[in-house]
Amino acid sequence: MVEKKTLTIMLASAPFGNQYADHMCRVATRALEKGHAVEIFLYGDAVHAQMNNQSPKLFFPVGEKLKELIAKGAKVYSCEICSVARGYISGQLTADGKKDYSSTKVLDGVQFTTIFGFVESLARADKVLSFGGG
Amino acid sequence: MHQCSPERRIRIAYQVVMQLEFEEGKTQSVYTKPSTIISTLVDLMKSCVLLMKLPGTEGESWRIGEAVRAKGDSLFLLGDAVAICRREYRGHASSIASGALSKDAKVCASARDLRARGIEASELLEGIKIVEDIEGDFIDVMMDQAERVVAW
Amino acid sequence: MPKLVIEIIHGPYGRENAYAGLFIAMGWVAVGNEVIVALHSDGVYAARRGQKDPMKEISLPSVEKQVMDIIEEGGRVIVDRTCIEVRGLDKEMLIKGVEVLDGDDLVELVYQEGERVLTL
Repeated sequence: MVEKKTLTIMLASAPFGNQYADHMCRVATRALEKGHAVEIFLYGDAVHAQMNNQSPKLFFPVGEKLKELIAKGAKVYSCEICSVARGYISGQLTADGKKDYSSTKVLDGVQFTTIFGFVESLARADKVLSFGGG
Repeated sequence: MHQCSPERRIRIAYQVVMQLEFEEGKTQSVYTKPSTIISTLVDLMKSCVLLMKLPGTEGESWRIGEAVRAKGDSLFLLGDAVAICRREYRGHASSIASGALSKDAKVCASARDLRARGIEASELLEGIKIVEDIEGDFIDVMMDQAERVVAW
Repeated sequence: MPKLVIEIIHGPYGRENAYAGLFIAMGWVAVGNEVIVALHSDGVYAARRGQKDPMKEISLPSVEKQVMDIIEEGGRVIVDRTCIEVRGLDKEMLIKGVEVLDGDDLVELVYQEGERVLTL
């Protein structure tokens, strides 16, 4: 019986331009299959992986893989400041003063967080990996 | 010190502890300083490197290779990095794979990435393990064995 | 206390890497943790003092300010001695508080302290 541990992964490169999203999703999938907890943080250009309705005819289907990972129990966090910059969320507040995370452009299940959310994830992880950055 | 096998390092640490007991009351020699014991024991940490790219400079290659120190450590090669374990590869990153092998560390290359790049098993350095479920193996080593893990 | 090492190997501004790594480092120390930012290869340029108004010049936030903030919060920012020498830099050209270590010593420090390592 494998001891369940938490793996926190940072993805820092945009999908399609390189293989990092592929490597990351495979490592995350195997970790979940082996009974570990996985938390993923999309950072910088990697937030493009959260885009809805991607249809890469010939490339690694990162959007689909992220959906599968979420369905299998991975937590997928996305850097909110990076996402606002790239137009995924508005960066505005809702009528009742909360951050407006609504978007038609983002996969279901992706959660937005500040860098402090990532910091907390890093602190509670048993192991940490970074993918991308080149 | 880092070239020692883990077994030798345990023996050294034991000798150091024994010496402390014998020399109680005398001035401690440099070999019996507590920090030496701690750093000796800390040297037993197992380390695991996941490499997914071809490093840009000699300095980068050196640095990446330095984390793989002895038997029990491991190096996993995915993506473009599989090219560094070809015998005929002469780039600076070749030192990462050959260095790891010379220290008796485990070196695994992704079967999938080798096939996709047309690299045959016969081209590889002796001792490289070609692994189908390399991500699975990597997870097992990272979670169950390694205290130090770094991905490039 | 949880420790984090961030290794940065790319220079600032041309790529987002240095900014991104320093941003994480700043968040990490701001909540009271220990951080080591290890700069080598072109990453050492992030530690250069005198980066003049990058926001006005090239629409990018100042990496020098990030380094200063991290040091002020108690984080360590360390450059590899060989990497600065090869690039014709010396300690006087670096931001105040940035440390210089020999390559061997920096690698060893990162190995010992690297419970969590991010590479950018």
